Amino acid sequence: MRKPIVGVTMGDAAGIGPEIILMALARREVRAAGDYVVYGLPEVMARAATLVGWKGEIREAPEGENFLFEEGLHNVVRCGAGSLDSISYGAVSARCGQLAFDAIKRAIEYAMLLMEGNFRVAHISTHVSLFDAIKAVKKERVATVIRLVHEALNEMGIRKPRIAVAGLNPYAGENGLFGREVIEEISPAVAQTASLGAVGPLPPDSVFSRAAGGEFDAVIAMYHDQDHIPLKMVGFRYCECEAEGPSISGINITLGSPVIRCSIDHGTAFNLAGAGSADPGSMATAMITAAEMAAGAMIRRKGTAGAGFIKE
Amino acid sequence: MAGTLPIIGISMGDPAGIGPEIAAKALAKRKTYEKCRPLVTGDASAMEQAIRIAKVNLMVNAIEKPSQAKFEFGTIDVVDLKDVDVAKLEHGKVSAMGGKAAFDAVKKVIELAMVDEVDATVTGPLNKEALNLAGYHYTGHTEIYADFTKTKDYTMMLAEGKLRVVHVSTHVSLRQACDNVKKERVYAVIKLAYETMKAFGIENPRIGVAGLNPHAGDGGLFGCEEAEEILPAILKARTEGMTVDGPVPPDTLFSKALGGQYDIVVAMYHDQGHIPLKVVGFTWSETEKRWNSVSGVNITLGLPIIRTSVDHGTAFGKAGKGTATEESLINAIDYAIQFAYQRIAKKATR
Repeated sequence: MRKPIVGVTMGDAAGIGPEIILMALARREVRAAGDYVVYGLPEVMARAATLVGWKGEIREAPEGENFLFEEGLHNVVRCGAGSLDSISYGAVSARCGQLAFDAIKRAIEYAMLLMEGNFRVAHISTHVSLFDAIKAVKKERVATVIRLVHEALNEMGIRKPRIAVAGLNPYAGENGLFGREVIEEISPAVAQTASLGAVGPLPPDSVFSRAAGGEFDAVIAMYHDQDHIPLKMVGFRYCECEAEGPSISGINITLGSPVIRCSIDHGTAFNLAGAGSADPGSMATAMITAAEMAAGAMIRRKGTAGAGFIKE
Repeated sequence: MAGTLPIIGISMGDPAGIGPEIAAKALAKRKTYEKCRPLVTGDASAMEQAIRIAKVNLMVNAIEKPSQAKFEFGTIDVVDLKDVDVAKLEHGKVSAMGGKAAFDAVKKVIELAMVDEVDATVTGPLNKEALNLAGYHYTGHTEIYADFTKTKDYTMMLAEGKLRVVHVSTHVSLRQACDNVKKERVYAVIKLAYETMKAFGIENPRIGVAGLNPHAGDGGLFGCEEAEEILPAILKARTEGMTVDGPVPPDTLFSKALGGQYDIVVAMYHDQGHIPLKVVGFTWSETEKRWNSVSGVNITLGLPIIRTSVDHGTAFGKAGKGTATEESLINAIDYAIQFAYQRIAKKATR
């Protein structure tokens, strides 16, 4: 199976966006997770390449064609007329704002084109300890995530989404025998949102197989590994990667959108732009997360075919 | 020939669930009788009803002890416990009668194994709520087995094809499961995994140990159980010559194992191991609204007797319809047979 394609928008050309993208792309674990296409201005990316000392080719990818993914080559989809006029590091400008906007618009359009999936996963918490993840299972939060997922599915044209809500404990708690969270937090949230198509809490160990078979349009997972484990079972060819760099920052996953979108959790850092000293950790994490989410969505689209794939 | 085949005792499970009907289906296969001598512990009338539900052409031979069994294809030998009133039995409903019948069947099969009247035991699904309603306050089969065989260090192993998983904890809340990740326990489970794989004929088993937290804690960023509890257990096992890798980020460990990188995986909690197993072994068909494939086996390690089990529950939603699949039960019987031969061989050399 091919790797998921992740579109990366360049951001403001006067900020640190272009350079951290190239630094993140230099990491093996990022490249292992997916194939990437940068949306932005090839000239700006070429300047950033010089800045960070990247020697490969910045290839202007033709629109609407299959991308060519190779080592030593980064695809850039041109979003705007080419020149570095009125783009200087650290300076706010209308042109940079326009370019950043165009890049986002094009990336969304392309992602929409590829979207035919009918399945997704959202989680209540991500990068926290399991101990903290358990504490994060609160009815308000669960209901909010259900609502966000419902909206996203509506926007995708699914009028009556079927949303499975996983339990937290084995067998969804077995009526309180194993933990009270299901009764006290998850069930009330599901009851509140039943009109939105939420069902559950369902036993976590079978809900993902049911969803993969098409019973649900989305699954709400209670913690990171609850859905990452099944996603990677069906969607991941694991590649040995050495962990590089100590910094992992938070990322921002937008749920209310019909396309998968992950973002860095910092700004343009105009004061750092052009120095090549910005930390690409958050960008790398966001790119990997987007690729992982996309890999899951790809499998879901194939429905039960996914199970066949892993058994080959 | 038949005399040398291992005797496999199958507990019927909760009669309100799919246990009896999948047992009937599995025993309606000639192949099953070619590889073992099966018998069922449970209620003969419930098994007769299950035969009708499963629409298979079999007779029930109600017996009191295994020595009376015929072990002939076409007849199900049932060690009859006479504890189900079929007229009152409602499929798909939790009841004390169902819970008691399931418990009695398990207790009986354990007793038979303890006195070597059966070579291995296979359990049909029981409902934990019914079990509690009947007054038996166990959280599952595993705990019943531990109690009746007086076993302290035991754990659950799941198997689906090449993927084998043992658990540090099983039937407890996730909150409790976090607390159960202690180095002594993690080490004990690694050792059980090692010994089981050795007994399986794998000379130098490769063991993968999962972390507890996302990304195995990411160097202490999210949780410190990896550094404080899991790693010390791994290091101890390594000094004793075991090949142990970890703590491995949980979300990649299982796909690595499925790819053949490990012979067995140590999971830190129930769903960490059960989710990947079922994603691989279970296939849901939305058009038919049913499981197309339900495979996978549950094996209890550390017991003085052999116990394997189906990998699914009582499926009350579909019980009594005859549509349940017997695949997992057949997998469980196959694993039981494999272990039974090793046990028999071991005894012979003693």
